[in-house]
Amino acid sequence: MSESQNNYVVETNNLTKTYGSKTVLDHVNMHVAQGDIYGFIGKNGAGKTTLMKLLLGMSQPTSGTMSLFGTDKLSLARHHIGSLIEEPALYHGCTAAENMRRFAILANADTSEVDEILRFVGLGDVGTKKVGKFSLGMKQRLGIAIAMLGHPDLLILDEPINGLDPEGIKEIRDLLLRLNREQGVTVLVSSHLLDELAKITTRYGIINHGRLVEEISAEDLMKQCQQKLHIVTEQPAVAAKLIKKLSPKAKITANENSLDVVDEKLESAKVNQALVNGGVDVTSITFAADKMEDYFIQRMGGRA
Amino acid sequence: MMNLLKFEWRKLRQSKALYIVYGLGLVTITLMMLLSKIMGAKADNATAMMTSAIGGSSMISLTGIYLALFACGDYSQHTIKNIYARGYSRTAVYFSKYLVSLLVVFAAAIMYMVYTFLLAVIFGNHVQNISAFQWGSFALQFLWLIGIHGLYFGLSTMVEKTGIAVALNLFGITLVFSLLDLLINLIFVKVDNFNFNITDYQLEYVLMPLISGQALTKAELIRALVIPLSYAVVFVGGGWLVSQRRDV
Repeated sequence: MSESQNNYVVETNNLTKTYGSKTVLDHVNMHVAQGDIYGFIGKNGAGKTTLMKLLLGMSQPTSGTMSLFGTDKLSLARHHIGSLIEEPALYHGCTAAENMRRFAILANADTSEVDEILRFVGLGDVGTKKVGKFSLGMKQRLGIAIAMLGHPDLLILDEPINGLDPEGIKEIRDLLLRLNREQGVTVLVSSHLLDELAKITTRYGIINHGRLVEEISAEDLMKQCQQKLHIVTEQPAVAAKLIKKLSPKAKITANENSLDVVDEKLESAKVNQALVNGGVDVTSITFAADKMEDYFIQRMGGRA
Repeated sequence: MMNLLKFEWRKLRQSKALYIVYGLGLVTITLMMLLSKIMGAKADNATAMMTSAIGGSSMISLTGIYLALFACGDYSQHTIKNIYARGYSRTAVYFSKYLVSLLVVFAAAIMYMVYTFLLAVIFGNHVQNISAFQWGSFALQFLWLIGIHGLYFGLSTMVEKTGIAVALNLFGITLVFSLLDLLINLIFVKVDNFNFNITDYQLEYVLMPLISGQALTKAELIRALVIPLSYAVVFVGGGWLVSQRRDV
């Protein structure tokens, strides 16, 4: 058994999955650190679910390796994972509590957890109603409840807020945050609802056509997407020097006929005055902002 | 493995299908005996009726239905995802299902035998001591059950779809053997003294001498020992191989 020296809960190395001639996952190197809420983003069919299935042993990789909790003894490691992949897999002829009791055996969970978790996900009062008669949202909650059995250290959730109403989405979001902050549970979650994901995610992985295009922390992403001054001038190099004098901490990206300045304390009027006083012809100064959604869409290969 | 066995056992205990399927068999036995009594058919002794209870009732067909439902259940409901995702190996999952379902088939066989015996006694059939031959027949019938269970369980796991598995278990095997028999006879039609009969190797035909009450020939004894085990190895092995590679 090889033990890695880092604290990655999930680490894949050139993980590849092909079906016939079709490559669904292409040399993916993913890194989910302890304590992350890792938002996994990609268009439908990009490979999100396939990767999650490989991590959970539901499918076998064509090539590449993975480690979970720093070990390649995957079966043992999976005992510490709770998951919900695609639609919840449930025994429709049974009650929610019976579904929980059955899976509690597999999760080595105490049956006393069952009622507590059901209440936690808002299914405490469904009584003897059969799961087959549940709404999609209720099934989704039960799927999450099953994933929570046995106090897992990692939750892998594929589109967990699908079918939930706004209130339900907020509850699940708050639930994941609580589990992460109070119990230190690492979360790997995919969703196509970027705004919802952005509210809780600490790190993003963007996948497109089976390739992991980028992994970026939420902090870095915010920096990428924050407001900046876009200055159009024929003398960008001179302008950059003048702005550095004005604000040494400003981040400046000079282009051929323009420059972008990121500094939340810098005011456009002051910049304009400094440039004019320094003899720089300023064609325009405008505020520009990369929207997070645009950032993702650009990396996911444009709109679907 | 212990968790998996507990899990399968819990599912089984609450399975309505199990009770309906085998309950139906008991009803059939009762009706058949009632009908025989009403029609005044010659009564066999209760012990002999118990010896032929497995082959003489609908138990085999019902076992085909029950095993299709049981073996395919987690695949068709996709709940197998939840089991694999908790770190249980595919081999452990497969053999836990195999063991639990085999125990149920054994239990059902014993229940059918005892029920047939008790019913026969109630209907006034006389009782004889169980002979050494009958003890041997019981043992061979349980060996035969390992074969038929392996066939149905392995096939059902391979096809994964409940409906197809039920159809295969009920009619598929007989159909395949009939077609093979026809094909072989067509191929060897001009060969003199050709007396190979493939249906001799069909499990149902292996069972017949065991419940007939007649002494077994050496060939029948060898077939009763070898064929059920061969079926179990081939079909349980085949189901295991398929379960290892299947994406869920």
